[in-house]
Amino acid sequence: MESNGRTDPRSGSEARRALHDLGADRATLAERIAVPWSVHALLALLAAVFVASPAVGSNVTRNTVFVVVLVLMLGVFADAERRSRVRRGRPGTPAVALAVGVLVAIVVLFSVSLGLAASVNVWWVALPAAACFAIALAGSRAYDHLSRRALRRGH
Amino acid sequence: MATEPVFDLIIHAPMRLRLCGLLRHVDQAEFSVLRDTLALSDASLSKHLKVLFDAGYVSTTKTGSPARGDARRLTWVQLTPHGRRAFDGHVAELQRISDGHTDSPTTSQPVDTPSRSA
Repeated sequence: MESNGRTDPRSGSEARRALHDLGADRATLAERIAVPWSVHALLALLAAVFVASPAVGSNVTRNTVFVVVLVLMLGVFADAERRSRVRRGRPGTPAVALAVGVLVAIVVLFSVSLGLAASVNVWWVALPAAACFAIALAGSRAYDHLSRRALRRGH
Repeated sequence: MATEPVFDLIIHAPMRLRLCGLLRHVDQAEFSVLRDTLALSDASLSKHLKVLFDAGYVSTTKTGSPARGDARRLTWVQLTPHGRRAFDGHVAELQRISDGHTDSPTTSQPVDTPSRSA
């Protein structure tokens, strides 16, 4: 039988040490898979481009921008996962709730942008686009933090 | 539903326990991540993975790596459902022991391993 270096598998101290090691490993892994700041900024920029798209006027162009932004975002996610060499599990309910909230905010800001472009002046879309960038940047970083926290906690 | 505490002799080896612990909360992890996180050599990690693979606790898939100039591929490792249950049961037993319950634990017996998908 392979020696496992433990004298008694039923020892409370050994069990506590083993559980502690598991927690330490999760924390190490969570730090390793942290998404770089540049990725958060790129995602926020893509979201802001989407919110600013009413400025271009044409429905066809706006739809094209939407599709391109969506594809690029998925590509950024996939690339970040490939670079970390970890395919994450479920992010946890707080992270999912945050993601839904950020998506709702982006949709609302897009609607505001549409209204501004149609009624005031297309340059006013810069305001909701800037707000979107800030919200998406903060949301992306918070999502990453929450999903890694779920990993650290073993959820 | 609460996990039934079951002491698993295969998982209990320290490095295999930590290996399963890393895999339990992610979908997949690449070989190099496991090796670097656990500070193991390639050969040592491969040995432990083989034991877990033979027990039906992990499965592996290989993908090409466009970032590499050679023909070597990336090896992705994941816990099987059987492995997750075994690990959860073992952790539950460790928790029970650490809480001060030192009566004889239920121990998993070697069984025919289920089919594994690669």
